[in-house]
Amino acid sequence: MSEPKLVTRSRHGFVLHLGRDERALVARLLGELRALLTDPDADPALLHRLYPVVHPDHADREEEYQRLMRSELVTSRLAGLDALDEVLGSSGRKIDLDEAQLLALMQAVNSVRLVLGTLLDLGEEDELDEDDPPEHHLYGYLSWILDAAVRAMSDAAAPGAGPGGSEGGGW
Amino acid sequence: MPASDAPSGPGVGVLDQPVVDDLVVEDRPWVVIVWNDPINLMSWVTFVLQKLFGYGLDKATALMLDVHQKGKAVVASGSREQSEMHVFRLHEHGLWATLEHDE
Repeated sequence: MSEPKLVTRSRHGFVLHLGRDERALVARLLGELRALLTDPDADPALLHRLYPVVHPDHADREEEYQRLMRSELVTSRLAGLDALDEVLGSSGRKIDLDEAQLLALMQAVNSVRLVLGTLLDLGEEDELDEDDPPEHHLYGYLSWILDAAVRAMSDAAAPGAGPGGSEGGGW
Repeated sequence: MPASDAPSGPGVGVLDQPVVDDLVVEDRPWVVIVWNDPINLMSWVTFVLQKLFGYGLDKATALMLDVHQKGKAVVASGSREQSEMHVFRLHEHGLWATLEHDE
């Protein structure tokens, strides 16, 4: 017997199936991400995966790129979080999302994973163990959400997908 | 290249050499590289490559496996402006992307 899906396709987009506590947890984590993105004194070591170096061998180009684009990246991430505030604040176990909202959720969840993974100093071969501290389980939980969302989006984009599939091509 | 190395026959000009050099520099594309990292999920990387570049599942999966197994892969190339926009969008999705351009 397969476990219930976390993200399913609906006539108008997608449905995220999260209980009240899980929804509150995700909302809290996204709130912490927002605080980190807007904190001028945030630890650069925690943020470095969110703002990778673009021109590693060329300091002038790197300075120019970051001067022009870093604030754009912050703005983009905050806009994604804004789009999620309302949907995660709704009541009920089923959360309706359109494609843009689900994508915003995926990006935000992955941003939290990048920060958590940096904090935990995760390596390629690290696997979740029952004795791990709670942050590891949180990381695993977010990975599960992201993977479920990828599968739902990929199913929707596949030929012959269900209601409102990918007719017209593209994503 | 020193002019003395050039052929000296009639009509074979060293005069063309600088022009060719300029064209090569102008045409050489910027390349967008995605690097392996221990955090991004393989399914997510494949999904993002499909979404941003319109690659089919097979090509996106092959590129993702290159990233995973070889440590990096060139996922796109083009002008500096195009390539910087690609990198920006990859960063929006949390991938570790850089730009390279041979001088």
